[in-house]
Amino acid sequence: MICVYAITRAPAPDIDVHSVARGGLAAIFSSVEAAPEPTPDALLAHERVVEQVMAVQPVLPVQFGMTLADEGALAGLLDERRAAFEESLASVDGCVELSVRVRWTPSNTAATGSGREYLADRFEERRRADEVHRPLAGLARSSTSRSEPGLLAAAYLVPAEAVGPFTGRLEAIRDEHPALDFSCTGPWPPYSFVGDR
Amino acid sequence: MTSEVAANQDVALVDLVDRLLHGGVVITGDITLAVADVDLVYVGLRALISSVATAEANGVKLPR
Repeated sequence: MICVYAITRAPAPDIDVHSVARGGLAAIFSSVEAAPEPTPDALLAHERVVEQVMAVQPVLPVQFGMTLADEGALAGLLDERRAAFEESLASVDGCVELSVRVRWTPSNTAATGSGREYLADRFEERRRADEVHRPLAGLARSSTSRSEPGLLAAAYLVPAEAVGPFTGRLEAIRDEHPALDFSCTGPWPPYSFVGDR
Repeated sequence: MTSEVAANQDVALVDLVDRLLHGGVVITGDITLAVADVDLVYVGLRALISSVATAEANGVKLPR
């Protein structure tokens, strides 16, 4: 059984994993006895491999725990989904993923307020999330977000050279909204932008 | 470690778990992880925070 870490363009000879190459595509994998359990060590090990590949070439990170029977099955997968993988690699080439989470104390009129107050609160929540998300999305090649009362969780696919302007803009937005609690992590491999979500 | 540092590491670990278990290319239809397992991972990663901080203090490079 093999465990797959990433789809990319060329083998990764410098790191301690195996590669299979098929005409301009490559998959990075290792041999395993069984499907890996999501322990902290296993998750960090998976992430390290993906980040090492990302350091030198565009990468499609594979979801943790994906196993196939053998190298032949993986080569077959590259052939079968070649067009989709090539398109995805082109779409993330040169970019990193940045995560932004914004938290605030939501109004709680759902239990005690009128229907009108409830709707006004939901509208205000939506407006607040948009004020943060829209200008950041404008600096990104692609973005995805979800919001719920008290939380905006967004991911942005940002060209490597635009990371500085992006974080600068984020700091400006944070200064404009002192009541909101911001966090930003990354650069991540583009887990949120590889087409299967 | 200050509570702010702890909170930031918590956020980074939540982001890591979210991405590895819910994002990325899906290459097989097998569902290998149950929700209960994910809860265990969160608990485990919280327990890991102190050792991550120790490793970083010693100059070990860890994923961000």
